[in-house]
Amino acid sequence: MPIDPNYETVIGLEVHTQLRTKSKIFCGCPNKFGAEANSQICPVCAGFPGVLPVMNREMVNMAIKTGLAINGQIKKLSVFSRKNYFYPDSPTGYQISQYDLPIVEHGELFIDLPDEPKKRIGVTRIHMEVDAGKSIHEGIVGASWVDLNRVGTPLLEIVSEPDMRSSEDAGAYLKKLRAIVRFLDVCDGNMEEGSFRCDANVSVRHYGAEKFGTRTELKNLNSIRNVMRAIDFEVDRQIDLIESGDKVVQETRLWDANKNISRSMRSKEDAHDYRYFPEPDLPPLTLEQSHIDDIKAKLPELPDAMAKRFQDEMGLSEYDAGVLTAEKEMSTYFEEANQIVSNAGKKNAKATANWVTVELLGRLNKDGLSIEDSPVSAVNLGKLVALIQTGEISGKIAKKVFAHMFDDGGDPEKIVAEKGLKQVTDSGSITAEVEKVLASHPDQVEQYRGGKTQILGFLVGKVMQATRGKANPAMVNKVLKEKLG
Amino acid sequence: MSNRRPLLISIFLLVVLFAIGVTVYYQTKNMDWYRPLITNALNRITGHVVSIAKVTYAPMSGLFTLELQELEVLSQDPTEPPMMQAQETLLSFSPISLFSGTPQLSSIKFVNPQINLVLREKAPLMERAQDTAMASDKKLLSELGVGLSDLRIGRITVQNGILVILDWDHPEGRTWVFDHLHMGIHSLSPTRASPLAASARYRSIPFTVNGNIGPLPDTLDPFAMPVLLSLEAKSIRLKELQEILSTDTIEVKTSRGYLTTLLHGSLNQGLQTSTWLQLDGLELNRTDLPKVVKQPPQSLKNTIFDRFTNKGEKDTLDLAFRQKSVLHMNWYGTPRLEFEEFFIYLDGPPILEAKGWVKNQWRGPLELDVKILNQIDLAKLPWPADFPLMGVSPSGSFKLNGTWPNKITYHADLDLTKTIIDLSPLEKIADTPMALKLSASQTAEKILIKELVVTHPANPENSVTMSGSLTPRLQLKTVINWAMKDVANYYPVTENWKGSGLMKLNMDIGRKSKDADWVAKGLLDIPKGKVGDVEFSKLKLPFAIDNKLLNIPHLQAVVAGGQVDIMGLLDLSQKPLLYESQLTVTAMDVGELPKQPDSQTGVQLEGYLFAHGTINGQLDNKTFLPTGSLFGQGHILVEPGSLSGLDHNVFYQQKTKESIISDENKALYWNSLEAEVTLLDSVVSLDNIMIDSSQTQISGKGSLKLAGKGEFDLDVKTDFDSKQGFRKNFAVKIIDEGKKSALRMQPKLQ
Repeated sequence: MPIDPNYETVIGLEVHTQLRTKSKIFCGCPNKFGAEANSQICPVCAGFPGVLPVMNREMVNMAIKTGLAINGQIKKLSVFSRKNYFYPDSPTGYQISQYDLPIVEHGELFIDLPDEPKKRIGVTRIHMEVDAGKSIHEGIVGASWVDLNRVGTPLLEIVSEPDMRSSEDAGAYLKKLRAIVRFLDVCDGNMEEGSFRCDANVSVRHYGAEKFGTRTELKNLNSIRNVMRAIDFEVDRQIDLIESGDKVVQETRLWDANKNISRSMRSKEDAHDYRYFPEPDLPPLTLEQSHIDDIKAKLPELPDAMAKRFQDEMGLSEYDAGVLTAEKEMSTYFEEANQIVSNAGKKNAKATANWVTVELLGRLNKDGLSIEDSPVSAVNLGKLVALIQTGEISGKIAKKVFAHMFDDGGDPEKIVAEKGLKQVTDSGSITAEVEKVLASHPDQVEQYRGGKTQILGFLVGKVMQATRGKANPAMVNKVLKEKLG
Repeated sequence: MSNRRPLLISIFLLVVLFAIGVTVYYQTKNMDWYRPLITNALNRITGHVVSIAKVTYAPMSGLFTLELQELEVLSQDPTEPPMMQAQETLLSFSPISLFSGTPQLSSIKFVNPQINLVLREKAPLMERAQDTAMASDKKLLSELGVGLSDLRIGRITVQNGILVILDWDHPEGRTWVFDHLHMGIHSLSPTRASPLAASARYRSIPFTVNGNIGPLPDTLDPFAMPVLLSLEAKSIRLKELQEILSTDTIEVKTSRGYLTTLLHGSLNQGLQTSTWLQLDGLELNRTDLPKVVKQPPQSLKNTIFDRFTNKGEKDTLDLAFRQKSVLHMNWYGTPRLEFEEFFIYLDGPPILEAKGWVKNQWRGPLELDVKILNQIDLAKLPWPADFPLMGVSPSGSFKLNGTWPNKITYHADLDLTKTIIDLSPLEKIADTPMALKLSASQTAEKILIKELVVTHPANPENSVTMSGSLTPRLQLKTVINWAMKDVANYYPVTENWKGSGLMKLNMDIGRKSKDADWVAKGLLDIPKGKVGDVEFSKLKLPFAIDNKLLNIPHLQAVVAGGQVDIMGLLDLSQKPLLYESQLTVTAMDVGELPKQPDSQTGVQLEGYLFAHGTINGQLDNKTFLPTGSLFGQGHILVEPGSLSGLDHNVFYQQKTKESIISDENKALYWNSLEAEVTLLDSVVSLDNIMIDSSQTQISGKGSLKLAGKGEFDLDVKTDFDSKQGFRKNFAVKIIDEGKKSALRMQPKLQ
């Protein structure tokens, strides 16, 4: 939401996604995170004279996949260019990227915002490029070290249109995009490890103005939360500048998450400062339509389509479907759990969704865990929901079982059996208990028969108490009503 | 015997087989009987006259291979050299196709071919190729039912060829020769793109071309042939590169050169090109400059450094050029080259950006917007000796559009604040604000300045506006509004003028004929101003310059409350400048004139001056200040007047001894003072001095040096009452030795 109602915020995001190819983009070195410094390099990575890059086919396929997933136009001809700039961790003195002829153009994705219809965000382009190494400054006095392991890591830069108008838009865009690349299995989407990095271009303008304001580029944003906070800070800063009669300077700013401020890093370069020219060592990339079609046919189900299926086929609410498809792991978990429930002969996806989104997510959030780290497996959660659906345990008992599963692990069926939590569904034993309760509470029976029917709840409670919660509440209700006439 | 028989039979059979082999070889080796057939076919295909010296079978190059010796394809224009000559041409056929009735070429190999392409404006090369291809296709279709678009060739090879491009439209007949040409094209067909790899040398500089061409368009229109080619030339053979880049006046040295170009698309849909040219460690030395360091003008001495590089250390440059453009060419229209990006980089950052388009190889209409992105040190580039700009380059932009030679228009908007200008005597040091806006046009015959405005950005009332034509005949109208105090910033020689006031100058400059000397006519108008210590108002100075003679018909000004009128002539051809003038002064209050700084005696002339006379003298060619000899003659009248600082009592009373007559509180008054004045260099001679007051008449003569010393011999007649101590008639000598308050008077014997 705009911070000052007189100003409109304009945001465009550039997202760098490290692709999960086995080898690097132009050589056979492994593409893995976390290895010993400079242990995964070769003459190509180190930019030795005379070496020639060889394009990684899998990277191209991943770029095509991503482009198709955002309804982008896959260009049959795309060209690699040299982006010339000097930085110590870029041994060649240039980055191989794509400039005027990227592999994907004119894409879009739709973001989900609470209480608002889906919003379309245009994707200007996706281009392939190579990552640089890392400069290491921490813990070294009077010097910096360079780790070239990351050199050659294949990157997709996904550039959005300046269609976002608030930090909430930006957050939702990043979540959706991250979900897409994870669903496609092209990137692990880990912002903290830098495999899903985001730079935000932010400007403000007076409402109604056609021309964009001067933008600044925010870097060092290592979580979606930081992206949103940095944008809010920057919008405030720019409005303050304008209001005080100053001008916003086009520059790159670095976000300091500890201090919650951004500071100027360097004046922003224009494209011509990079002296782009076609990469002479790599031929232009030409694609056959049949190749694109093959990849399209093998695309996995994507979050939006999956959410729609959850709504149409399983009757889930839009909200639940959105939550369950926000992360690939979440949707996988849900589908696996729901399959167990279905296998038990009780199709009730709503119940499964409720257990995943309310009980499981609530507990995961409380303990600061992600779905991948859940102590309760999808299979066990499915079994638990199945036990409820088949009437073997009540919802109340199920919560106790779930807490046990979460804390100590285990199969819910075994826990129920071991702890004797199985719901009493035997009408004979329930009738016996009901008769005992009616006999010991004659006043309440009389009141009920006198027309005070709400006393039934009290009597149900007494029966449940007597059965230590194991009686099926629906059956107790039924038997009580029969006995009370 | 029976044992020897098989052996004999074997020997016999071997001899027979050998004889058959030799016969077959010689029969097939000479396949010249195919020559007319092949020649005719090639005539039809190429649309050109084709000749072949000999056709032979070449089994060593392939089982089904013919060798054409001395293949020559003549140009349709007999004045042009043959389009192609090949020492050997090897045609290999697909064995299966030989039985189908339509032999298909599996490969063509040209050995040592020379291809000559002639560029002619009236018959563009590509259009001729298009004509030929389409005509050939039609002929073949009608004759064989199979056209060129059905062509499939497994491999086309050029071995050690030469490509010669002759630009016959260029006045000097430019020629480009590409030798060591090797090329391979695989699977040329109308269904898919064919890989192409080529290498060649241009003036010993090797380059490579790689990529795809095709598929062959159905129409065989070369404009429609898709290409995707990458050209690269690396940094070797620097000596040759330097020779290519050097000109008659600039010697180029470079330590690295690199060129890469990507072309993709087709001419009729738009052929996109992206080019990067990089020259590192570049040295640019002028060969037309003396090997001495030119001394900058004194006023600029501390603001520039040596830009002439033949002496002393020279920094090298890294120069790069990047462009992205689309070339459109089709049957009917002229080629159009559209620049999407065009940058020039110097030592890293971009300095110039251009956008726009040109048509018809720069001969057609063009529209280019050029923006200066970063200013540079102009000393880095090898300007001609008389190039007037130094220091930091201007910033701003300029625009060109139009058609050459019909009309090109220029628009420039430049800030020259950081730039040093040396257009002696006009000079501007760095950081003196100056902005320039230009709107002009040029045709082959004339250059017109619609408007040229030079302003002082910090002081907008200063402006120079110029309009008119530069060629064929100079005819410019100039209006200058400039504060006198700022003139010296751009015209340093006027620094000693110490002027102030707003100057308005209207001037027409022109030539009576194309080669005649320039003439000018105008009016300088300064409503109120000051030169040195002299204040003036209502100055109007009409002038005309013709035949190197400046004529001032009537300068008018009000100085010290009086009117000054001057007529003058200044000979601009002389050094120093010679002038003649006639001067009239009317009722000038001498007391309002600035005091002579050299006068020490404290005696000052006061009163109303009326004068007329002539002054001839010399002026410095640059500063326009007096220099050398000076001669003037005239008559002055000071009426009424006085000499303040002179003790009239001592003057009239002292009889016998020399006295000091200076007294700052006293004065000698008169009704009128007249004298004939002669000015020679720094000496003013006054003759026939007549001072008339109510009771005295003083006559005499004297002289006064401008440095403040002088002597006067005066005869005095008075009607004073002698009882009061005044003399009646006496003669005195007045001596001014330049000593403070010490004007002396010596009595003279009658």
